[in-house]
Amino acid sequence: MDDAQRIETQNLARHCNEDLILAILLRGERHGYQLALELEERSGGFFRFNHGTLYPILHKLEQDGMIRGTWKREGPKRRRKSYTLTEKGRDYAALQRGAWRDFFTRFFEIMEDGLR
Amino acid sequence: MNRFRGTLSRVSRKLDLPQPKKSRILLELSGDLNDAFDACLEQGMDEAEARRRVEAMFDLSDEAIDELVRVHDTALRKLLGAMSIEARTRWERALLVVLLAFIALAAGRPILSLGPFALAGPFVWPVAGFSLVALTAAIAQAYRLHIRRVYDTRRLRDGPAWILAAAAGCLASGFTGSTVEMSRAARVIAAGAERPLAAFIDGALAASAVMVVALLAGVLWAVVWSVLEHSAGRIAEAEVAWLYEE
Repeated sequence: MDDAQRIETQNLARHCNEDLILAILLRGERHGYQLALELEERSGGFFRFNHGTLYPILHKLEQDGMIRGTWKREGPKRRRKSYTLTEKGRDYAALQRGAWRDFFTRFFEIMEDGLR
Repeated sequence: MNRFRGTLSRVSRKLDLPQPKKSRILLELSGDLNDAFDACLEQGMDEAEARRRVEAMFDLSDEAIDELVRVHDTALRKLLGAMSIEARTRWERALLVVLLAFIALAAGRPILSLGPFALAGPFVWPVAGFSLVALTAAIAQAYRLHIRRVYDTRRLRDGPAWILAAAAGCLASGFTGSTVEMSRAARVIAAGAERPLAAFIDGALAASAVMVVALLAGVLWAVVWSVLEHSAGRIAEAEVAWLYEE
């Protein structure tokens, strides 16, 4: 497995948050609030994002070219920023899916060996 | 008025980023806060309860704000941030001194050798004094707005008033100097000068020279004041834009 497909255990929480956001955006354009809400709803409340921590992650992903933020006018006075996945982000999300699968396979191998 | 003004003001104070990045982040946050508020109202909460709930949901901790600053910081600001405050202040002061010395050396001698400056007589010194005050105020304001980038909307326009006052001082010195030079020539002629026309021309030359120097300085500082005022105005506008959801 090459480095791009490896989940770095020292940055587990960051990788997890980034990849969950990318996974939600695979379904289409979302605002920051919608992202957090959808993640919570789809995981039955298991993944509960502190909305405050969402922005650094979104802005980092935007800087890395994984997602694209676009400002749109909603009504006469309101402007909103919504995010979509870029091609690079789509490819990265696919790679990460494999990396997480591999991560948990190895994780459970060790856990189950220990419990056996 | 934005109903989450308190939350946004708190974040704004801590978010040490230049405009327009800061306003964009606050605008994005403001949109999400209002969306969450509307969702809470739809769930049947009253306004006070919805606001409390949303503020708890969007509690931007100091760590989250620091992380946002880190994400958006430029390479130069990251380098400055890595230095201690004392070291940074020392470097910034040293750079300003070098800049001032360079300006004084490069521009001082050629300007002083120009005709009007050579003819202006002692009244060029008050003009130079006022110009020094204006230069100091202009550098301090430019440093605050464009290098340090710590924006306090209540104090954004504190510095430029000194520049305008110094520009007025230059003009007043020029007018006084011009009047003194002309009255001196008049006294010489009245005392029975051998060549009254030459005395009058000498007086008029000195008076116009001091007036030209004062006008040049006055106009220059007025332009600098106007540029810095415009700059401060733009920053102040961007700072409060999110309040009106522009």
